[in-house]
Amino acid sequence: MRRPRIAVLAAAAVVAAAVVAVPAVPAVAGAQAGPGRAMVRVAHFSPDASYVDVYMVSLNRRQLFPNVFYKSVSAYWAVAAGPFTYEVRAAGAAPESEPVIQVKGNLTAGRSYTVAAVGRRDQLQGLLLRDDLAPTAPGKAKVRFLDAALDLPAVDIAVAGGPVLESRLAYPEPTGYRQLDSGRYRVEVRRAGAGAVLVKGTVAVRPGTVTSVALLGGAGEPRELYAFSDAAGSRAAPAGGIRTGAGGTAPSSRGPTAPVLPVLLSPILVVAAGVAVGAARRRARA
Amino acid sequence: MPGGNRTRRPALALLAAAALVFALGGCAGRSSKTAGSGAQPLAPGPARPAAAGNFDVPATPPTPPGFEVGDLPGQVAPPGAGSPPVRLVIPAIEVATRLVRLGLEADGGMAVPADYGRAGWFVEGPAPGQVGPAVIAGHVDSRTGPAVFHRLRELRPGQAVLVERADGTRLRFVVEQARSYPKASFPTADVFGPVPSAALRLITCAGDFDRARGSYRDNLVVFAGLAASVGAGNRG
Repeated sequence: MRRPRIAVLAAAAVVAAAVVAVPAVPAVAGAQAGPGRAMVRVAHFSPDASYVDVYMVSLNRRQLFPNVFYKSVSAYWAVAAGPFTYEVRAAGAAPESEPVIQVKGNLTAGRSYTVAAVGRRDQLQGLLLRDDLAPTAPGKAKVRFLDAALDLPAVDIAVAGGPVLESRLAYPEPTGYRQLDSGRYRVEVRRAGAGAVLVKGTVAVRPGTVTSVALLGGAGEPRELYAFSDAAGSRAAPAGGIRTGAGGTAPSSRGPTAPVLPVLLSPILVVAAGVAVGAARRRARA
Repeated sequence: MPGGNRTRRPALALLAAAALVFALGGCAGRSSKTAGSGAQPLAPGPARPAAAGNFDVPATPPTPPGFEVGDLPGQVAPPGAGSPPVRLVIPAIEVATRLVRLGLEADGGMAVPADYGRAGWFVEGPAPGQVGPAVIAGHVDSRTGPAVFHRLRELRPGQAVLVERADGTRLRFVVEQARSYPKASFPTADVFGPVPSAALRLITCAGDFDRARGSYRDNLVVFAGLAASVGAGNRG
């Protein structure tokens, strides 16, 4: 059996992510990931390897997902941050047999990742993509593309009759995330450099959402743009905290009374001082 | 389970929850194939041609020792996506309220219910059940006594939060954690920012009451996930 090809694009993904770097901490407010956890999901984009077995080994879990089929994109699940191994074998292959893909990587706590299998069945590769689920700009959507289609030249991805979104994208590259106005886009995949249209598709994005779009197909499967959701947030977020209390049940003397009194008195003092100053001014004017 | 993956499960939350249980603890439920049933797979016999695997035909390999085996966690399809929430029920703390709609105030802050007895859904966020962080806020108290979310602080991980929607469907969320934050450093991105599954946040006030400002200093945020969300259940 051939040696497994290892192609970790983490570095590329990191660079790509850095381009759109939002200096925010991960948006995974513990609701999903929790301390010391990272989120991972699995995607299968090899058109002629219809069924594969996916092995995911992280510090806290050893998981086998049998019979993962073409175009599957799983939900994220939480695993312990740290080293992990992703292996792919043909469906039913003995677990101890040599994998056709093996990717070893390191998952950072609070981050989210997609591990994707791409390529022709005899040239499978694993990609470790870093997913940037940080909030979008207000009212915008975030979109990235992944070229996972076989036998295409480098491509430009453009809005039909509109701007080029990504230039010279080649298999098997992901782009960074780009902020787009929400809406429904007719998208063309063209031979790089204003060439012929190779694939057409539609990408619809709502404000606050994060979407990945894979260019898929080849080896007998139709070429297509395949959009899948990474995450969704609010269209707009409020500023500051939420004003949900009027104090009717707040203890009137909580803790040491000393700090409370000045707090209670301070508005009175301020008002009194204001009145005094005002009075003095009036007197002065008079 | 060939084909199992291809079959879209009915989107009903309960069924999905059942599927979740099956997929998680359920690894053990799939007795014959699971770890624990022995280290060495299958009796030695005639060499199995399947040992090399096949990309064209589904076939499940013998379970390697120590592995959980299950279907890939599926994207949770929000049942009847987008129907607005009309009612919130939290049995553990005896909350049952109709929901008002909350938008943004002119100063950029979030509107809050005028009625202290009702909670409200933030309409700039997703509806409960859609992918993303649905937000429901309610007062902890009025000027004179407890309000609808007075007992929110008692909610604990694992407890249920039910949301009824205008289309008559009911969603079950499960509390994942509760945290308090100073309003001065409210984690807007964590509460309102993108998440990959259907999530719910319940918000009220907490901490000390600042009588000078007429406002509590902190917000309590209860994070919950749709019960069908595999990601949420996998946290163990």
